[in-house]
Amino acid sequence: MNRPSAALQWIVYLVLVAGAVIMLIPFFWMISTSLMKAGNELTLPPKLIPDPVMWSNYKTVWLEVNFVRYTMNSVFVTVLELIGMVASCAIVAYGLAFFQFRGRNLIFLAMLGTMMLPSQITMIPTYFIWKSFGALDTFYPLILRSFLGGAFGIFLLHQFFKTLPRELFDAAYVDGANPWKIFYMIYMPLSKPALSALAVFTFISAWNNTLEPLIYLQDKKMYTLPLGLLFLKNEVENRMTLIMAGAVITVLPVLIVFLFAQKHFVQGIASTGMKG
Amino acid sequence: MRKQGYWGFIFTFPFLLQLVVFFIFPFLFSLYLTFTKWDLFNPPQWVGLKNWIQFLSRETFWLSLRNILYFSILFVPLQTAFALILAYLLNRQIAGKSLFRMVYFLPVITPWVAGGMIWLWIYHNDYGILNWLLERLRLSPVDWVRSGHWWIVIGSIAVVNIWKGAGYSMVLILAGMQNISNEMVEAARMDGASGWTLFAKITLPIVSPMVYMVMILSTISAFHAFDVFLVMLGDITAVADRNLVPNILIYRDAFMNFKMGGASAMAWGLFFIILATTLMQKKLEKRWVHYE
Amino acid sequence: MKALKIVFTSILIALSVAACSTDQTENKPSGGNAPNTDNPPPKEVELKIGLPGGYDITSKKIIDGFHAKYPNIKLEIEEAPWADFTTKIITRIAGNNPPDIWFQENAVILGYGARGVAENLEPYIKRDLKTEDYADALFSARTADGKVYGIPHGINAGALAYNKTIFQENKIPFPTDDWTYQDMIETAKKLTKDTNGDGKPDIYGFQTGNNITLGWLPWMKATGGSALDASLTKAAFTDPKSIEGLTYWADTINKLKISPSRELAKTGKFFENGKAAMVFLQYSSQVPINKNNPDMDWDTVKMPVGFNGNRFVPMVVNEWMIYSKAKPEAKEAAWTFLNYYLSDEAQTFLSESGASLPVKKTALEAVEKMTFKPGNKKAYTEGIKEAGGTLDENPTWNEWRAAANPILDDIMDGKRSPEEGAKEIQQKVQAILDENR
Repeated sequence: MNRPSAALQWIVYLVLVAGAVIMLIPFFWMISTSLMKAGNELTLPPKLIPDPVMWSNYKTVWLEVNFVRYTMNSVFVTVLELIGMVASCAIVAYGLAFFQFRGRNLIFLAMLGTMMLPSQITMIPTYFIWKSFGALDTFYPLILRSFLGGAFGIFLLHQFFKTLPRELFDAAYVDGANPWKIFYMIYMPLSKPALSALAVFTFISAWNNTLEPLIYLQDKKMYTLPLGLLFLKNEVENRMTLIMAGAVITVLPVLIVFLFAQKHFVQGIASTGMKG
Repeated sequence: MRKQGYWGFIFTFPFLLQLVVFFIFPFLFSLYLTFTKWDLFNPPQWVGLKNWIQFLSRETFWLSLRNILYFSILFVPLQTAFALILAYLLNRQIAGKSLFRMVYFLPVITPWVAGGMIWLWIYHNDYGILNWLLERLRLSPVDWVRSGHWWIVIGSIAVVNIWKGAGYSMVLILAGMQNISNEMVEAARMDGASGWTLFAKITLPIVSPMVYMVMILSTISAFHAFDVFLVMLGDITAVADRNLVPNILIYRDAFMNFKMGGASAMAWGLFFIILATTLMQKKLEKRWVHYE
Repeated sequence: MKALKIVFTSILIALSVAACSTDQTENKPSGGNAPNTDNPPPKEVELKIGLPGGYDITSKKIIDGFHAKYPNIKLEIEEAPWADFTTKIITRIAGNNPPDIWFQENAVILGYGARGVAENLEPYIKRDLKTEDYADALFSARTADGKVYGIPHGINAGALAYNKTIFQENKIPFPTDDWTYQDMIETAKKLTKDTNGDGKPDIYGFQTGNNITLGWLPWMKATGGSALDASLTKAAFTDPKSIEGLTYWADTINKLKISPSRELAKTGKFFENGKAAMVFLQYSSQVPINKNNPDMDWDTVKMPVGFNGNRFVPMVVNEWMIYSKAKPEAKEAAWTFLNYYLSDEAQTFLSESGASLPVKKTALEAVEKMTFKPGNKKAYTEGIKEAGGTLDENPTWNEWRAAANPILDDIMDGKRSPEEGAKEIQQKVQAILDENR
């Protein structure tokens, strides 16, 4: 490889590191605040190192919130949403990307359109729909829709499919493979980067979602983790230290998922040895 | 494109169902509400075009529109460029790239409370890093998010939003970069391409569908900006008219003032503006987006 | 198959929702002819009760105590986080399935009353309550035409809190109940100090609030002004007395510099960290202070006497309300709950939680004997009885407050003069009041 000059390399590093600091500080502040003694968290200039270190904040969160139960609910909902979303979006995006049929452009535009009306306006009519299904106070409103695809995921995979060489499709089709087979034998393995990106984003939004659980769940036993953690803030106290402890706990699984998935963001054609 | 239309129909069927069951009714219902007065309890009363006339003649709506356009013009290109550069740098063989990827993705999963606290601190008049720097450079301090000038306030907030969103877009573009095969890069190198030419000739065209998507998505999300404004400006009642954005107005009307009709009209107004912007972007798509 | 069913059902509701929401003649508020409940038969009744913030706010003891007394009323408790309760309750009202009884801020309850969501409780009160047993705040949710839409969940009043240590170090006598605003300002000037010589004070004499409760409204009332006139239909911001109050208020920061600015106060705690000698403090704030700063030596006196010689004690009141479309027996059960809530037993539980003050006089007096800080709780309890006032609340309170707040922030930040700001507020607030007439 003919590398750019060493000086340029260093400048790039310097900029990357400087940027990384700004990216990191709020995250660091969240962790350190989660370990602060209540009342120490709001000072000027802000303190970044907790003194004394209060591990007991985590214990308080654990005791105050029905932790195990909420986590199990969250895992249940998130895993189902994840499976449903990735599978359905892949299928729909494949259909939109590789087949010409009447109404295709209209569906594509409608898909974009679903993102354009603020949720503040569609929230209440959507509630009416679930109410008429008799599905209030169940997990259905949180899960079912993800099996029917979502605009973001379909758009993402559609665009990704469009970056793949289309000769693949033609070649396989001429060989007599049916479209379904082409989909899962050829395109799915090639789409790992986009599928894992979609998986991460679906995981994040499902895991952190508080609006739908808030509106649709009544029974406290069914609460998801982030919804349960919202109870840490009450009328008289802000309890920032506990809220941050809760935030750290919520973020950890996301971090782990990201770490696992990020290997796959970077495994496309380049590493499978296919020619473009 | 294949001719087997029925296959396309079969594959897209789940989403058609989604549209019919979960979008048609909310869309039509809210459109109907734009012509009514509805307090979310008593039955809606038909008022004709009153809501539309009212919000179009409201000064605050035009202020919020000005702000959101300015916000989008700053946010969308800057964020996209930033994400593209990051993805490009972090897709190469440089030491610690997985760590960097992780770190640049952190803002996406950092809760707004934490991000907000730190940015308010960065922008703080007396204790802020930025004003400290300006002081060292013998420049007069700026009020940033507390400024009386709307363009400083909105600009400062756009920067915070870029901080939050760049990692997200980076991952999307990174995924698109995986289809650049080593052979293509090597072939281009043989032809003497390097640095910028390599980027412009090989990387950019291949990744352009993803960049295009990032732009469309961030435009839509910019027009719906809400959280970042509340975090930086205080609670929903504390946002001055000069700093308003449409979604704050819509939220206030819908959930504080119980004027769902007016809120729906504004939301539909915003819908048409976003739709027009997206169609414009779609028109320009053919000029620069390269599909295989 | 299932998918097909969903499609059909969705089309069905699309057609029926509009029809559904127009049909609202069912369950007219029972009003004056509420059934007599002197000897209630132990019939099983289900009561859905909505609790923002969960049990700790209402005190689990009250729920348990009620359950022990009325085992025939089956409580179904619906909790939601404090900050997000509004979103949830609004959605459920729109879907016509909210709880039978819940509580929210007084102004919100007044809005519900105006829209018909809240039951008029005046007939119930007339039937069952001895009103002389309660502080006037019992009627915080009363409208001009005599309807009462809520029963106080608790009162959260303001008082002047002071840091004893700072006063002692400066050898300045503590504030007293007959202090005036002028006394407070003069003392604050003496207590504001720059100890490390960097040109910025390190200890402020007073911390001026920026909200309606402890900020601008008490100062406006102290000069005889107000936000709205007595009828609550006319804005009064440009009343010279109101502008005078706003000027005093903003001057504490911009001219006298005895208080930290709004921005400083937002990003740091001053009174709690011993960096401000005095502050207007809501009763509920003692909970976090006692928990997080237990060693701080502080106390309270009544809100100072205004420049015009009158005292004003700002009160934030949360109100219980009964859903107007609830079933008649659920409404009665809800009222039974409120009756219990207003009993000595439940009101004592409420006082013990420390989050707000009870509305019953006997319980209010009992608060004075409790031992947690502040020592002088009479600053609150007697303050409420003597001069307690709500915050010019009417059904559009949230809307006009949202119009006024940002401009008031500008005044506080010194970006705009009180006269000029008041003019703009007046115009905006009046427009909102007229529009919703």
